[in-house]
Amino acid sequence: MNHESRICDLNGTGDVDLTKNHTLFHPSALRQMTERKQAEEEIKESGESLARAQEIAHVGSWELDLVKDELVWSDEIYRIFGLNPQEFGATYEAFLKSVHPDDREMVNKAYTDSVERKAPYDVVHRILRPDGEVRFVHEKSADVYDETGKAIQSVGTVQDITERVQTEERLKCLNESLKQRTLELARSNKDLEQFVYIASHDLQEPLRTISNYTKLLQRRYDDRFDSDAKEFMDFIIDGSTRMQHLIQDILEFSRIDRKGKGIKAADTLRALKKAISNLNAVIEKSQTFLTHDDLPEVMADESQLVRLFQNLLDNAIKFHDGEPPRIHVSAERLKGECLFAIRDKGIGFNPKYAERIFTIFQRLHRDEYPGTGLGLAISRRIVERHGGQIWAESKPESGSTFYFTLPWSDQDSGEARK
Amino acid sequence: MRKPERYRPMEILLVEDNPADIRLTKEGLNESKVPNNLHVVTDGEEATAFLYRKGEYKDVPRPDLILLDLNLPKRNGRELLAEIKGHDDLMRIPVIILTASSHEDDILDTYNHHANCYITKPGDLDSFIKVVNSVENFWLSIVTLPPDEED
Repeated sequence: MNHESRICDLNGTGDVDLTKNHTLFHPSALRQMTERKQAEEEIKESGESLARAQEIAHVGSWELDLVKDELVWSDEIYRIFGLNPQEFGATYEAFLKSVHPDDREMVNKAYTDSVERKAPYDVVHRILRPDGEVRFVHEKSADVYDETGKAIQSVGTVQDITERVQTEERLKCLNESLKQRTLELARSNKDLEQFVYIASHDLQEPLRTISNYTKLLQRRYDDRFDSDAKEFMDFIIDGSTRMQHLIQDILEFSRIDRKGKGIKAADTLRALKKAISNLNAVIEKSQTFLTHDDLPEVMADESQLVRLFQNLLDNAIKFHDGEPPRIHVSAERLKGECLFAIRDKGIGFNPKYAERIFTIFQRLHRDEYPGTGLGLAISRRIVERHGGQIWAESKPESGSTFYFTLPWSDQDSGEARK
Repeated sequence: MRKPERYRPMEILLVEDNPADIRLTKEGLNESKVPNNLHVVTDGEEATAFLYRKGEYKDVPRPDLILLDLNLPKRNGRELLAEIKGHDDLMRIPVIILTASSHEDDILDTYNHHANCYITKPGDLDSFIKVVNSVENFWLSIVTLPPDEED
């Protein structure tokens, strides 16, 4: 704006001097001419760098004289609109013609509204180039008013944002397909869970028949069986009992996410006590000595917390030799979560298997320590459902420690801060 | 007039398609102290024919108790339950659901249809026999059933 008005002043005085009097070189006129030349150079340079900047930024500028109804476009606008610079008469109608037909009415209304309401004009629309290419532009303008408050000039910018819009569109597309895929994955997960549930459920039925009738056979004909027959019967009963436990564990594993109750502030101590009471028979038989710290409340599904303690305690009790098991359950408040540790002085395991023991059906021992190989896998799934982590550390012969983290309950963390 | 005692054996209808479970139920009822007749049908359509005394079932007695499995061929146990409990007369016969399912939906759904109780078939022999004995003891000895219809 300031540049423009200076050009007008200089042109006014300079033109008069040069055309009217060729011979007269008044020193002040000479000085004026030199200054003018310098100024012109500067303006030319700044004009060029402005044009370059516009080209780089894909931002063109325009000025509309509302009094004379004259529109001036910078070269970049011509380039954005796909026209040859300064070849085409810049008028408001020419501009509207460049706007995509579907957006023309909206753009016209937005602009006239802004002039009427004296509000800034800020709109994104499509343009249609003469070669048929559709591009997106972002336009902004503000008006200049005279002393009476009448709008006399609009000054605005046009930015080619096609690349940005296209990137956004692509991103939107990608997001959409990601959403779709997540949905499909969730569905197939659900199908799989449903399949596991039904399969294990239906497997139970014939298995029940096998074990029931073997027992009936044993009960009614035991006195007529010789020692071989009795041994075979024992194998059948043992096998079907194991399979029953396996199926029950698979069922449970498949239902951790689906059948889980809500996660809320849970009484950890009560959960541990329930787990201990569930294991009462095993604890008594093994003469386990169990101690524990004061346990803070955590955010958990309490019934799954019981199951988690039960699995880990059962594990700690099971893997013992000779001496009665000594187990300690501790808890430590960390940032945002609580770290639990279940330490035993049992047989331990080779640390290289520390990760593998949590994998479904992975067992380090066979017959001497019974189990389905699902207990720790179920434990991990429970912890992960709560957003925590579970791991184990051990050295053979010197016991193991199983760690897991669970998020703090809000109530409890509040008390801890007090 | 209400009869204080029944001088006839109890009529039990077992709707069950698994022969192994039919046999086990019989084993359990054989030990019963209450005289009873066990009638067995193996699908929902047969059960309907029995209850309405149609075709080959035209001379059967009206059951005092129904033991109903849910997963049956043809008409399943859920449909049969809804029909019995929606029938003016049959609705008075206690229906005991005896099924392998422990699915919460099944439990809710059958109670919604006025099942008299829901039992998940126990996994081992002793418990199964015990359940059959308990059902028999409770429903045939302890409870007072509705009086006989005057035919």
